[in-house]
Amino acid sequence: MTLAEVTTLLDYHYWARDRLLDAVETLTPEQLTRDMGSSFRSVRDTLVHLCQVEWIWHARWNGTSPAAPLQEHLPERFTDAASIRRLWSEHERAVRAFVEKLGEAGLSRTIDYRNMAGQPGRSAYWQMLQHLVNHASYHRGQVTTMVRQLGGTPAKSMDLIAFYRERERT
Amino acid sequence: MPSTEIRLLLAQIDWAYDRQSWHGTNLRGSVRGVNATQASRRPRPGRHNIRELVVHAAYWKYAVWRRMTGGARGSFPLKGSNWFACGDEPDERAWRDEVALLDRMHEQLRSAVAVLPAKDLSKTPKGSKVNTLTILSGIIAHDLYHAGQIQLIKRLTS
Repeated sequence: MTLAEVTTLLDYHYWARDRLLDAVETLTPEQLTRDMGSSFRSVRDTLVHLCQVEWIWHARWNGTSPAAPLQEHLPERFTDAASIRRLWSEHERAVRAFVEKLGEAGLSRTIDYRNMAGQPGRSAYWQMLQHLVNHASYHRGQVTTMVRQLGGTPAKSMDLIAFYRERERT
Repeated sequence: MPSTEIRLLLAQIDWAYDRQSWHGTNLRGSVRGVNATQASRRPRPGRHNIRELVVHAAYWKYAVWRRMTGGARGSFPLKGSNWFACGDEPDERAWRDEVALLDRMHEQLRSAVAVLPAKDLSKTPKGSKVNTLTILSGIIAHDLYHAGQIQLIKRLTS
């Protein structure tokens, strides 16, 4: 996988995030935190989970394997979509800066880390970045369903093809 | 033997569909053990049920395969495109057929990818605006997006 391909995937990932957050911003605080029975209970908890995951991977890339999320990243700290967007944008800057520094040659390098349960793992950077994007696709589908269940307006299409079409227009 | 690029792509296609993966339950795993009653329930009136999501996913695997191979338009076994209305009444046979259709369309697409020369990944198929690698990345994301939804719909309707 080339650096250009990884960068495009990240562009897609953050473009879809923004579309999702635009839709989530129309929810009330009660809707945002309502327990919907999802694996991460609410819209807020699912979005914060995605933020936490980016922080965890970034920490691993920098040689630390966290065993738990930071206190300030716990879902209860987020009362609206804007606060989630702020944190996620910080992670975006960190992830993009890391990938840029990594460069094309670094993408195929592997690192050793431990997962949250303390089990060892080893992966190439391109695989971890691909995972980051695929993992978010999985949960975006859930957030869309939750927004609909809550009576909100779901996000505009977040399909990869919609991203390319929009990019072509602009 | 497929090239390294094709093997990596196949691995991602498999993770999203039916091989154990990091990102949570994949698409095929999300319907494993689901019966027709569960598959026909809607989280809200007018919303898609699992049956419709399965046929929708099958259709887009077919659409990508058709783009890649230049297959004949209208060769999807069901009439229509994108979303297909499936009844609310549990029908075990229809549900089995829908899952089988998804498997068939997946295998058809996977087989086409397996024999694709790596150099063709950067080519833009006729009628498409983006290259084959992009189209295939899109279908991987599509599988995962709907896998996540199906997992949630099962909880919402149980």
